[in-house]
Amino acid sequence: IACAELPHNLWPELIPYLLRNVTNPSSTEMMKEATLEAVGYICQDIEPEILQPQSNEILTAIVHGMKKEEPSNHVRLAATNALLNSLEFTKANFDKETERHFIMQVVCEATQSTDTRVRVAALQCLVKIMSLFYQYMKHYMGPALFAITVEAIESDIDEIALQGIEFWSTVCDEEVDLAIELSEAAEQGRPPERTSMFYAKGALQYLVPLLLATLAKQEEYDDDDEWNPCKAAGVCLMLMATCCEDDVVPHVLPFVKDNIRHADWRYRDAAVMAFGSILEGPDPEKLKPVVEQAMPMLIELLSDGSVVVRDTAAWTVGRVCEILPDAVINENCLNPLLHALIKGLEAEPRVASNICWAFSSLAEAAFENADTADENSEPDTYCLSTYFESIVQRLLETTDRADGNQHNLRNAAYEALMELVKNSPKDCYVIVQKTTVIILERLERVLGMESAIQSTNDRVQYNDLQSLLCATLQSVLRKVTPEDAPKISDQIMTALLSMFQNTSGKSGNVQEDALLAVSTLIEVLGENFEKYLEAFKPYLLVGLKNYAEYQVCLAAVGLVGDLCRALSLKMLPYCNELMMMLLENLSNENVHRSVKPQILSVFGDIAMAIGPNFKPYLEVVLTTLQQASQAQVDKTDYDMIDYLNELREGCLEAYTGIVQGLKGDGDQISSDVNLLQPHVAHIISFIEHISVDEDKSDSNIAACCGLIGDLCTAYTMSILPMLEKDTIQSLLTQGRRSKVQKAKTLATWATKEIRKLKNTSWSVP
Amino acid sequence: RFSQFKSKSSKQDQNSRRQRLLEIQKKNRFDYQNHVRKLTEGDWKDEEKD
Repeated sequence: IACAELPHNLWPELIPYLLRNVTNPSSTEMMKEATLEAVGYICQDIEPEILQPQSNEILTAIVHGMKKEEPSNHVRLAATNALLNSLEFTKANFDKETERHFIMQVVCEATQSTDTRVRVAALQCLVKIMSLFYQYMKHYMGPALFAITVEAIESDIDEIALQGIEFWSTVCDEEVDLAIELSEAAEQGRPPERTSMFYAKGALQYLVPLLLATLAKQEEYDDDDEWNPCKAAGVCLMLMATCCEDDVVPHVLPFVKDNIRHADWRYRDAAVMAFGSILEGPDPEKLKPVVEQAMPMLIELLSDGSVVVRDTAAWTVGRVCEILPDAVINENCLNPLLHALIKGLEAEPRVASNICWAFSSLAEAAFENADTADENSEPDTYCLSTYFESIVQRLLETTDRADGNQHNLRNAAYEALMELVKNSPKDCYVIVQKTTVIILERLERVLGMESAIQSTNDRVQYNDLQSLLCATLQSVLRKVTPEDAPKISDQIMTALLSMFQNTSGKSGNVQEDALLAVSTLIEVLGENFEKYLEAFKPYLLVGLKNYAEYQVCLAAVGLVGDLCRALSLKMLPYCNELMMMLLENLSNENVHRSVKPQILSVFGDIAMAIGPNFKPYLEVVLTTLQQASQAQVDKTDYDMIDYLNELREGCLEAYTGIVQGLKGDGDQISSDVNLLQPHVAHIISFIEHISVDEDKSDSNIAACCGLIGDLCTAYTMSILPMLEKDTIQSLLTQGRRSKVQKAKTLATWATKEIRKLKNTSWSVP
Repeated sequence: RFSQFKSKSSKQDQNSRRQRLLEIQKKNRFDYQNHVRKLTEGDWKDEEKD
């Protein structure tokens, strides 16, 4: 009730009344406990700024209940939990030294309570204080916080140990952020607002041994969903490595060496886990020889007697393949590794799932390392070529495993397959072709199984499988040569159409992946897609109307753009209906905002495709663009700044498409472009508006410059006076100096177009 | 924190696939517009010589 009333300035006597209950010496224990719980709940759910004006009084009451003199642990616990929920609005109190000292003293004392629940709550307060008020912790770290948290990590009580570890994970998170802040500030030539005290680095020598010891405290039969100190220690060590980089290595490697062959599986597992956790952070050049040396042992551990060890070894190998692939792509290691990985695909789902991940990373790295004539051409061969067929074969078998729904195995296997196909060189093309046939067969078989589905669980798996098969189709289609594409397109389109038709086609995920597959097919087939358009159109319209699942709507909108680029003028018969639906979506407030910029861009695609035939839509589209280009957002919200930039880019792309479409792409400028003339002043002022916005993106600059160049081509000398403005010139300068190639190219081109016009105007008497 | 334990990255989940297609569409649109501007590779080099 308080959360409903207080924001409207109603029930003003509530908070003072509650606080009196806490501080009144005659209040009973139960009264104080219940009141503090109520205060805690209110603080938890209400917007922090609403209680800000009363923060002093609230804090006084809470701290009163937390003090060590308080005889009741129930009251102390309720008070400590209330503090945890109120820390967000106590910044003003933390800013004042005496108040800060007092709060910190009370919290630190509460961590020493004999009641576990009070200790845990007080430690949770310390974690949150560390993340909210890092810059004030200097005075407390050495004398108190370090000792308190180390003692907590050593505790036999899991809940207490977890908070001790969480404290240091939070320290690492903060210090990683501060390091980023520092480098950003250095880049801009200014001092950072806050600086790191390098607490994690200072504590490494004391903390790492504790974390390593905790790593070896695994449960015999671990519950996947349970969070325990052992898992928390793994994450903390990983964060320590990211934060402290090279410094962490000497504290961890001796433990790895001493325990990797330990008779007790717990220690072998802890050793592998420790090694896997420090792979990211330290200098890769320094780590590479260490990893090279460790690989034979890691490969051996993939077939360890303990499934926990096999799982951790597979995860570690996966991380090596992702973070330091060069350490395994070499003559010594690659062959034995691939044999072990292929064998590992038959292991338990959790192990095999990690193996799939390793294959994904290996494929990507191998493809990047391959020799190519130039960076855009496909390599003839690469180091996985001789193994390619058997890897693909085994991955296909893995996707068919009966236990594939456990530990995300089926997904992981299909994803690895997609990554292999995507990163395949020319000499593997035959296998890609074979895979395409298999995927199509599977898709057809799966579509025929629809009637056999009984349970909800079957339905979920069935839909997931269709999504995955569609996604795999996309990756094979991107590899298929232009000659081969028409040979398989009938079969693909038939399968996709029946997918849209059946029940699973009503699922958003299936619909989206099927639309994405059609998009890819359009791209590959170009104007040969025309023969499918009539049959496909109903499903495109269903997609455009699916704003409840906006990702589907977004895919359908993008697909309209693909059709325009592939079919050009052949789109004309469909434009009335599509334009109507796009305009409707744009004005419909139930359509997710992220779809709207895409719709604007697609207006540009349609205008380019049908050229002068766009005239009937011109007025309504220009009015819409005028409104959209004047949108304003809350500039304190980063997401909204990004959104505004996307919206503006949509407007710019639409204007560009319209100018280019109306003027025609021949040397003779069509007079149709004059229809846009009344809007040119607005377009220029829109560009100026973007020019002075310090949050604009490089893409915005590029699109503005491109549009300026297009306006020059369309209107020649008459546009010059409108471009003689500092804001426009400054935008072009920013573009020419941009690090982004797109912006640089277009700004240079637009500048030249302007110069060309000026030269012409001077030569005319 | 839980999701950070033995976490694996993915470049082929539905969200990555979606983002990748949006990027491809953006690039295709850009290429198409630059074609009209005669900024595609061969033309641009001629322009440079001027």
